[in-house]
Amino acid sequence: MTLWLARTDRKRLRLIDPSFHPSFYAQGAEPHLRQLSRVLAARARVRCAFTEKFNIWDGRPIRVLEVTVHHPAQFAAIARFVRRYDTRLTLYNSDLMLAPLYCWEKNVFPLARVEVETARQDAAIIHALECRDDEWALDYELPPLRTLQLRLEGLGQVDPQHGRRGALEAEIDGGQQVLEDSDEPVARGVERLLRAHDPDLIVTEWGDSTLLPALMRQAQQLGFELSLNRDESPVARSRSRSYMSYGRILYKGSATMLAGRLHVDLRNSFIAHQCELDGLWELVRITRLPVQYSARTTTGTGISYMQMETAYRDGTLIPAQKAEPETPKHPDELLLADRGGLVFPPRLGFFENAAELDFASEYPNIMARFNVSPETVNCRCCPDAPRVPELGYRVCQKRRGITSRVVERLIAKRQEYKLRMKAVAAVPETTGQLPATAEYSASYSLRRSSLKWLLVCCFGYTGYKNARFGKIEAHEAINALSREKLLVAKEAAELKGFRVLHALVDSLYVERQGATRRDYEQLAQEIERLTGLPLALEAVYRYVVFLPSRQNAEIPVPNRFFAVAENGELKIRGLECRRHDTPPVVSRMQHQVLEILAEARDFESYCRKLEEARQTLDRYLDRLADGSMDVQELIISKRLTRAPEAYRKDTATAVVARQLDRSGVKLRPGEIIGYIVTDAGSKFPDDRFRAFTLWEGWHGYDVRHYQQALLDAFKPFEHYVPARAAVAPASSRQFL
Amino acid sequence: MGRTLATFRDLIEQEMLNWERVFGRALRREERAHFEAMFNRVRLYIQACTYEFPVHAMDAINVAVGLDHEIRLRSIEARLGINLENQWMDSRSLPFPGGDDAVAGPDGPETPSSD
Repeated sequence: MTLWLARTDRKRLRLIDPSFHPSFYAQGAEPHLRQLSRVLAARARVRCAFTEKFNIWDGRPIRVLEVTVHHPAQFAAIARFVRRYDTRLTLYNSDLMLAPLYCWEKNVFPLARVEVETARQDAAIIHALECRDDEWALDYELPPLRTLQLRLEGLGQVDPQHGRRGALEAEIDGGQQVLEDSDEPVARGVERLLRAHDPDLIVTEWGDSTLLPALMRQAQQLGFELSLNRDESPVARSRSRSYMSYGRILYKGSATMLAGRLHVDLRNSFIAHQCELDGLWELVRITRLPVQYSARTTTGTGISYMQMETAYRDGTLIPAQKAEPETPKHPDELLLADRGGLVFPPRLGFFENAAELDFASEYPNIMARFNVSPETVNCRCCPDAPRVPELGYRVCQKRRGITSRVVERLIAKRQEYKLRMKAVAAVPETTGQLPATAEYSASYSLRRSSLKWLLVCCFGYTGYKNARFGKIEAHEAINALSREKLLVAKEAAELKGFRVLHALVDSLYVERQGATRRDYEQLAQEIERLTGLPLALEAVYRYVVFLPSRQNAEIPVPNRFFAVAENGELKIRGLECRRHDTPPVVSRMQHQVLEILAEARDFESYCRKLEEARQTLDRYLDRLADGSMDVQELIISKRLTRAPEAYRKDTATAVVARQLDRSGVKLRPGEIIGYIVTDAGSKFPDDRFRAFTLWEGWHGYDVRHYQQALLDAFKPFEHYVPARAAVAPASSRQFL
Repeated sequence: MGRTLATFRDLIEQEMLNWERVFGRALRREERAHFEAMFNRVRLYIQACTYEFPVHAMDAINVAVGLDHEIRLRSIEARLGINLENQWMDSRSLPFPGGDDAVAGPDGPETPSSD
């Protein structure tokens, strides 16, 4: 196993740990296992021995053959050989990644502070390794990483492979420079920076698919090797692919991973995009997955590996792939079981003084408190356990579930961070310490949100067909419990005279005339007591506006509303500015208008503020008409659902995809493309839209189209205003 | 989202299409609009339909349609300040002989409402 260490002085070391011998386990008839052990011993450096380990599903010990591989590089190959050699055997722990396995065995994790003792003769061989860090610590010191940032000038969100041009910008040690082709080739410039500063971390935009491969190509043409890796090994690249997830086709760019340095591509990293690098570091520490891998994978992998670590420490065997099939169900049972959370469609209208109550991390809390985990649902050991409502499933009373234990710690850590944030916020501004504490607070918030993503995945994975720790009954049980708790909460609210305006799986919007914050807090406590789940008063709103479906003004839809909290903070759902394909100009207008409306306290002042907001709208309309609008504000982004040539109709996406395809851009389904509407009414489809990267000044833009988009985006704000003005104020607060 | 079963919203849509084909064909144009509105308004009570999830979706749709009528009738009564229930229960003949004015005349109901 190769380890890269950053010493407290500026030295960086590449060390080898020869003491790591990973094992996997085979289960089967004794003669088969003996035969296997003979065959293996003859072929490779392995050690085979019989041992007892626990079965995950019933917790009973089983006799298995432990195969310990001398050299980690052979682990995957030998496991593959065994799988093919005797298909009657069941393998466990055989398809795990080596890096986390090493971390489990040696009790270390990436970015941890460690103490290393090297062998006397050879300074590169690790003699002993001791972890001086705790992944559950709240305040930790990160290694002193020297960071090089690389990106192209101009719009970050447009894929440079779609034809965007721009000079390469580099930033290191606080100094920024533009590398241009004119005086020296860019690759030479980058090489110079690498040698001069020897960065530990390279943060790029589009580095995976474009920048680093292009730099390496250029270096090769110039006849030198770019020293991206700290050792002699070649740079590892993986291929891009399109895949389906939840009925959508998505695209995953290729990856360029380095040795001895870390490369994070902000445009190819879900977690770094959502939670920045602070979130990534937190994730890496607690999941023990390698940094570059974590940056590019889903958080689901992280939670799976945390579950596997718990199983590993228990001496429980980790099944190779999901082995537990769905228990057969009668159609009636399936009807009952296969349902999600409850959603009460909102009451339409403008409501003053309403409150939102949220179950905090409801699904993870259900898993933790009610011990719902794949191996505890309908276990064989507790026939008389209490039943899950509606479904009648049992939950084990004897064993604590693996998932429950994992989420419990995550919930606790998130909670600790929240307390820290509160403490930081409570520091008075006069102490002069604010800058430092504010920074901490931002970091806590990012770390909290990365933990949230782990928790979110954890529930989803119980129902995921490829998950090792998946079992659909656990998924159903969690949903059933959540429905039960929401109904209990609704009943409690109604009993106290509150009206439920809207309820969405784990949150409730309630209202009672003249209710104070104290009343709402008491209600929250009451519900918490009745359900046994933590519930927080998320906000008391000056007003909430629930909007109807765009197709039918009578029908409410969940998640199309906006609200202004007591402190003026906005909550927006389902408006255009929340959608990914909305051009920036429309989002900006909506945000500005909402800022104005947020100053209103009740319906009357709302109507006044709306007049003010109309002037903002007019300014935007004028700027579009007189051409002073920046064209970048008009980019509409869409996801390709198929290959360019597979589109049959001349939709905007189809037209633009073909334009890019014609100019030599290789597009894959799931990629995102940006375009400008040039003349929506044109007879020729090709003139209607233009890919942003191919757009030039003379193409112009369709003023009417964008003006209409602005007007449409303003409609939600005036939806209830004429209706309210027409009828008597007091009784007309409900719109059924 | 990776579900085995259709959501209740899909079922309402399916049932509407099923009924539209034959039943709907024999409706007058002016009746068709109400037919659709009736199905659409079931979505107001969708959480209860989902929670019940009967084997035949129409069972829940029927209850929801009835409930919707009940609620709207009551709110019309409230707005007009009348209580029709008393009148229907009354075995005597209605105050007006029929036609559109039977429910409530321009001056309000003849019999005072109970509340």
